[in-house]
Amino acid sequence: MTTTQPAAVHLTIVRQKPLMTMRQILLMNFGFFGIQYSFGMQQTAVNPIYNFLGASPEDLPLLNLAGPVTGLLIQPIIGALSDRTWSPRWGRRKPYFLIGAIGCSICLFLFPFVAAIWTAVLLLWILDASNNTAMEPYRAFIADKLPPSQLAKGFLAQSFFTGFGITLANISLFVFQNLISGATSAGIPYWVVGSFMLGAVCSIGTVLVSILTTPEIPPSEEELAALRARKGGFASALREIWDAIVEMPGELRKLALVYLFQWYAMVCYWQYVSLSIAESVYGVSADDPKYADAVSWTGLVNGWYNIVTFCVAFPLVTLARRRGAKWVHIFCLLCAAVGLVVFANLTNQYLLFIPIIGLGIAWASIMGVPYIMAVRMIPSTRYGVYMGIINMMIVIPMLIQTLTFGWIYENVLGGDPTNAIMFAGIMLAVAALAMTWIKEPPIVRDVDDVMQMPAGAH
Amino acid sequence: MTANVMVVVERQYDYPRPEVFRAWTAPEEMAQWRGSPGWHVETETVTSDLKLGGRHHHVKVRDNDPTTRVTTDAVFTEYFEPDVFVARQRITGDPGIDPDAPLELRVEFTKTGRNGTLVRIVQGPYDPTVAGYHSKGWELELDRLETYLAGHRNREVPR
Repeated sequence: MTTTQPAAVHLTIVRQKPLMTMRQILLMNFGFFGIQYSFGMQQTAVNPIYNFLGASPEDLPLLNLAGPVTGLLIQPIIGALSDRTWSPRWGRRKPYFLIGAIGCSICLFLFPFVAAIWTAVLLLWILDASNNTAMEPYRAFIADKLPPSQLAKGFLAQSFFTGFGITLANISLFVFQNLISGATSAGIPYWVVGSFMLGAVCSIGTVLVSILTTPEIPPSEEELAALRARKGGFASALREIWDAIVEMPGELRKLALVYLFQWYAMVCYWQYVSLSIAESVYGVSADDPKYADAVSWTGLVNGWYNIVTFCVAFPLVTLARRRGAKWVHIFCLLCAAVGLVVFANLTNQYLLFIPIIGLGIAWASIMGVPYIMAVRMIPSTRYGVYMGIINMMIVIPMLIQTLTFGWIYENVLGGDPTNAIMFAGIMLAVAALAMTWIKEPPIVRDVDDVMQMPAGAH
Repeated sequence: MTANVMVVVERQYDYPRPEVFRAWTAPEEMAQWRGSPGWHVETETVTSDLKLGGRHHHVKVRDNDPTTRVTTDAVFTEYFEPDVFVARQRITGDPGIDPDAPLELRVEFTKTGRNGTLVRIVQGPYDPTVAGYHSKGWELELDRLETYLAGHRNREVPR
């Protein structure tokens, strides 16, 4: 790898990227499994803990404020800092997702021992900050390591492990409920404690496997000198974020609109699915003892859609290569839209597993496909900061949801959780519509396909 | 050794995408700057059918030894002006490249800022032992492109 700075102000960045085998790609992404287990616990188990501790349903969005706020503040800064980091021992992105994973493990270990809502909120802030510190440098790591022809495999391997991690988080809740009895003095069942402990081990363990098996691509002496010449720390990182926003490619701005609707919808689903199942299937609300059954069944439903996610992640690679990432994402969002509208209207607990397949397909796409497009629009020297900005596109809708949905829930949706799920379906359909506005960069074919084409370039 | 290394080279230019894309693809323009220092493209050898499935041919010659010639034959497998072109190449005459193992050259042109262009070249797969040499070659060629674009702009702007 070499870098020069001729008379012009722009550097030429040269990287040599060895093609990676499927095994190497999976090992590189294995740490995402642990990070997503942690995220899965945050999605499925944290809201029930609030409910066990006596929180009201209309307070849930506000109690979840940690997610959007930490994501908004932390990810772009971590991204910009990692762009200008290099340590011969620790690398560029690895220090960040190692620190993040350690934070996740500690928080997951402590979470089930909370005794009051305020301590749960505080811990959620730290857990979310740790998740955010780990997640986006991990995406930049994939973009750093893989040549464009293998990026689809790399990002959809992340979707695969997203599905796998969240599945295990949810299934552990269901399995441990049947194996472990009793509860802490604060009323949190020990089966919830067991799931959190497993998450604490997975989070750090899997990240260590990825760190130890996958070396980062080192910068050349010249690039390193250029990195060191970039003065300033925090303030200059903020300036870099601002510059990246100003210079953001137009198509990436359009992606922000898609993200607004799709992430608003996903948060609605996560916050209200257990209440929706409690009402539509069990005919109870959160203050009823049978709510625990609804929570457990929600874990199973969420586990199932994440099984769908990891089953469809790799077929989506092929589809994205043939049809383009844009149309694959539109199709997947529409599957989820239809699925959620049907889901909200079912009263049979077993039938819930059919329409939620649509959400599993969309979740695979949401976690992988937009990134395939995004990294083709941005310079590789700024992957970190742009991955952070893409995350802002995720957390700003979450923040908007937090601030607006409590009112919408009470005044528009009649305080009915099944209406909240249908509302999420409609938002996903609007996201699919917004996606049609994006002009996708032309498809990148896999290098294997190129090499299999008949020779004939004469 | 197995050819398994992709070379990725990128650089920003303060010129609009159509201008940079044309410098890469129009035969009369690409012949002016392609080739590492010490090499040049023989203008009369360049033919290029600028469309999907179109064929491209050019010969690079060493400045001080016209008998040293490297021939590139290619087919455009993607061609979207001014976004990207991809060519499947057969290169003969370069001792570091197996003429029977086709290479893929992908050149992307992304708009940056008000009127800039990020050029990203992805070429390979190369044998690891020669990837560094070809990386250096691209780096030097992109310097020549900058010089060419600056000169081209100066010729076009009346003083």
